[in-house]
Amino acid sequence: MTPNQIAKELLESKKVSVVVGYSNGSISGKTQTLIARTPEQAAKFIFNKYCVNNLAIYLTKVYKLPKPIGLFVKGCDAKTIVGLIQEHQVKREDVYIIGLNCEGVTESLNGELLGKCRFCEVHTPKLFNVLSGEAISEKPFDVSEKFERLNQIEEMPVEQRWEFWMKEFDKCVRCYACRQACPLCYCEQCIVDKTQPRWIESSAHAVGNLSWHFIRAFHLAGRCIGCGECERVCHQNIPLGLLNMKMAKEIFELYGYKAGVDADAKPPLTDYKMEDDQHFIR
Amino acid sequence: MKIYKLKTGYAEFVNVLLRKGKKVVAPTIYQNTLLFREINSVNEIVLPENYINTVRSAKEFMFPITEPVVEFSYKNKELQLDDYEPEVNEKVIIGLRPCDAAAFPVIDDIFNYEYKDAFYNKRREETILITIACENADESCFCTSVGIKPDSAQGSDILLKKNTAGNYFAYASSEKGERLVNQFLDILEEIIELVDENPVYKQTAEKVRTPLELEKIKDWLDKNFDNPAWDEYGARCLGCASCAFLCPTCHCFDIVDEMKYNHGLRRKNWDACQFPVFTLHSSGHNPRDVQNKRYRQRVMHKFKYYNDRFNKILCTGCGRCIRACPVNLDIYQVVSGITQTGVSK
Amino acid sequence: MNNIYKPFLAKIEGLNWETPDTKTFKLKFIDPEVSEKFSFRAGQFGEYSAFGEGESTFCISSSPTRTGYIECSFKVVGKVTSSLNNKDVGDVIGFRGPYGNWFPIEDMFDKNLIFIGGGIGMAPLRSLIWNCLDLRDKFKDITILYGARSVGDLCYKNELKEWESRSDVNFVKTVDPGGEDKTWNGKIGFVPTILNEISPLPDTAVAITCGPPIMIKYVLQNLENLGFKPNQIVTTLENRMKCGLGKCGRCNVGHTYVCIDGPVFTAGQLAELPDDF
Repeated sequence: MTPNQIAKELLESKKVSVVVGYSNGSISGKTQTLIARTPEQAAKFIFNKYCVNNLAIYLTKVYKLPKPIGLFVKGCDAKTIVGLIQEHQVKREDVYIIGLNCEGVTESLNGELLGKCRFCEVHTPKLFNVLSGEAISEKPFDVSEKFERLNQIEEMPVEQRWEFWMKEFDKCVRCYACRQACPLCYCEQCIVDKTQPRWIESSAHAVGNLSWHFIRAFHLAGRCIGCGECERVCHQNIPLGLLNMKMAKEIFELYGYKAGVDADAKPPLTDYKMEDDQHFIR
Repeated sequence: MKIYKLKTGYAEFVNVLLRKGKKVVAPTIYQNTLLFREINSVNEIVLPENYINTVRSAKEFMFPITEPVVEFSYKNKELQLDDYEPEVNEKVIIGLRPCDAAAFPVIDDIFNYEYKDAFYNKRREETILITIACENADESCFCTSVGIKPDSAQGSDILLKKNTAGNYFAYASSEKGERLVNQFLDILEEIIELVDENPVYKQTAEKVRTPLELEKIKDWLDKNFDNPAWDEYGARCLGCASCAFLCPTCHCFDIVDEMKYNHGLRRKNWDACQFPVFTLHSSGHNPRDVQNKRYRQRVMHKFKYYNDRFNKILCTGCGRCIRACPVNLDIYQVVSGITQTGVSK
Repeated sequence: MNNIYKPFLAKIEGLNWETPDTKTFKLKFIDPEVSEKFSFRAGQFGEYSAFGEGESTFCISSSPTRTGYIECSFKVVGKVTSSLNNKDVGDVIGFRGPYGNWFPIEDMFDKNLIFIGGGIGMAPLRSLIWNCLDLRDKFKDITILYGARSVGDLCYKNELKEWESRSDVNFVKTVDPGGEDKTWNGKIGFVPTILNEISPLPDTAVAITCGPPIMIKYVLQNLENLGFKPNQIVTTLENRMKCGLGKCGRCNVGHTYVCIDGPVFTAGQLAELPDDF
C-alpha cells in the first residue's frame, strides 16, 4: 500500500488520532510537514527523495499531539524513536510507525544525497507497525569512508583542530536551530536557558559558542543516532554532525554501545556495568 | 538622485575602494558559507552574478549579534560604571541587495522610537551601503510584495545598475553616497540620465513571487487573533528561530550581564520571539506558551503590529526565512493563504 | 554618548523585609545632580540592576511627592532578585528610568478613589496612594482594600496601620480564607469577594487595582457588575520586560508596548488588547 492509503485507513479506522507525514513544499526541493486529522487530509501525503525531515520530533511532548500518533518513518528516523522509547518520552503503543523504504534523501536539486545516506544500513526501517511497499536490501559501502570527515579532523594537530573549530563556531549566531530540530533535545528547560546559575553564556562570542556546542555534544553522547538534522538545519553550515559522530565513536570504543538499536538497552551515560573501564578513577 | 558612469568593472571598483584605504565588507566565502565579512583583497569577494543573496543579512553591522553596551568593575569593592565605547570606524558594505538595504530605513524607526539607540545610530552613520541591483531571483524572493523592486534604491547610499551593454552605473541615493562618490571622481563620471537601462531588472521583477494583497492581509490579521488557523500553522513550527536571526528586519534583543572576577560587561544580544522562554514571566506564567502563539506573534508583528505603529511592513521580501526554514513553513504561503481562504471571524 | 542602556548608580539607604520573600529598598542616587533633578510620576517603573547578574523590572513604589529618594519593592523569584536580596545597606545598584506611562492622577481630582490591591501588587498602588494622601484635599473619599494570601504576606505592614488609623481613609484589609492568625482583626475572604461586600458606588469614582492576574480578573468583573464603566477602572499591567525602551520586542501585547504605552491601562484599553499577556 502507498503511504497515503495507509494513513487514510488509519484515520478512518481511528487506529490513530493524527498522522504526521510529508506534503509538497512551496519551493523546489523542499517538503512540508502535514499533520492530518481526517482521512480526507491524508490524500495530501507524499513520499519522495526530498523528504529529509526527521518527523520523530513531533512525538516529543512539547507538540502535544493527541495519541496514538501515526508517523511516517524512515530508517534513520526509526532509530530516534528507539531512543525516545528508551528514555520514556513516548510509549511504543502511542506511536503507530508507518515504515518507509528509503534509498536516500537530498536537499539539492542535482540529486546529490545527504552525507548520511551514503552510509545507511537501514534502507528499510528496523522498527515499524506497517511497512509501505516491499523491503529493500542494503547497499554496501566502504566503512572506512564513513568516518573520513572525522578522521580528517582527528589527524590534524591539536592547534589546527582548535583553529578549525573556533572558525566554525565564529559563524554560530546561537539560534538554537540545532537544538530545536533534534528530537532528543526535549528538555523542558535547556541548560543554556538556566540562569541560576548561568552555566552557559548566552552571548554569541567565542566562549559562549564553544560552551554551547560542547555541552550539547556531551548531552547527546551515547544518545545521538546520527539523523543529521542538526547539521542540516544549521544555516551557517557548521559541521555539527562531526561533534556527535566523535562522541558516538568514543562511546562505542569505551562501552561497545550503539544508539538507536535496542529499545530495552540503557544508554551508557545513564547506566553502569561492572566491566566498565575504570583506570582513570584514582 | 545623481547618476554616475562607473569607469571600471565591479571587481576593480572594490579594488579601488580597498586601495584608497576604505574598510570594505563584501560577500565572501568563509568556512563554506557565503557571508558578509570584512575583506582585505578583491580576490576574496564573490561576484554578484554568483549569488542571489548571502546567508545572513547585513543587519549585524548596525545591530551586532552580541554587543557590549555598558562596562562595570569593582575596584576595592567600589563599583565603577562606564559606557562601553564601541570601536566604530567608517566602513563600506558592497554587494548588498535592495532587500537588505531597504531593511534599514524600516528598523531605523524602532531603534529611534522614543529613545535613540546611540550604538545603532553610530554604526549607521559610519556605514556606507553600496547596493547591487538583482539580475536574478530565486523561488523564495518576494520583494515586490512589500514595496521594493530588484532595482530599488531604498536605504542604499549608492545603487549599482547596468545598462544594456553591461556597464555599471552608480545612483547616489543619499548624502553619504554623494560624499563617497566625491572621493572617487577619478572612476565615476556624472551623467544626466541612464537611457539604456538593462531590461534584466524588469525581467527579474517578473520572476519573483506574485505581489501579496497587503490590505487584505492586514484586514484579516486585524480581526483574526483568535482564529483556529494559527493552531495549524504553528503546529509544524520547530521554534528554531532561523527565520528571526536571518531576517534583515527582525530586531528583538536580550540584555545580559557577564562578569568575570571583578570586571563585567552588559551586552545586547540577538533574541527571538520564537524562543519558548521569550515571554516567560518569573511567576512561571507564559502568555505565549505554545509554538502556535509564538508563530502568530511573528506573522502579526511583521504584517500588522509594526504597520500599526510605524506605517511600515516589517519585511523586505528577501526570502531568507523561506530558504532556511527546516520545515518549509513559508510565511508568504501563510499570509496569502489567509486571503485566499477568506477565513474570518 | 547618550547611552540609553546605562543606569544611574543608587545606594541602598534603607531596606525592609515586607514578607519572607519580598523586600523594599530605599535608594538614593549617588550623583547629586541626578538626585536633585530626578522626578517621576506614580505608576512608572524602572530597570534595577544587580551588576553582574542583570536587570529586573519593578515599579517605583514611593510617591513622587517625596523627593530625594525612591523606593522599590520586589519579590525574590530569580537570578537578579536573589542577588538584590543579598545586598545590604550601603551597597550600590543601578537604576534606569523612569519608564512607561503613569496613573492619570489629574483625572482623579474631585473623585472618590477606590484602591484595590493584592499581595505584591500593592507596590505600584502605594506610590499613588501616598501621592494622593499627600494631596488629600484634591480628592473626595478614599477607600483602600488590600488583601494577601496570609497575614505574613501583607506588604507595608506599618503603613497599613497608618492608613487604618487615618480618619480620612476607609481602610479594609483581608486575608484569604485560612490565612488569618490568632490576632487578625481584619476581614477573611478573597479580595474580589470583600470588594462586593464593600460595594463601592460608581458615581464620580475611579477604581485603581493591581495584583495577581486572577485577582484582577475577578475584580474587574465585580467592578463592572457594581456599575463601574471601563474607563473608570485603572490597572497596571505586568509583562515580561527587558529594555523598558520600546525596542527589544519582549513586552508587546498586540501592537502595544507595555513599557511605552503602559504599564497603566484602563479596563477599557485592556479589553481591546488581544489575549497575549
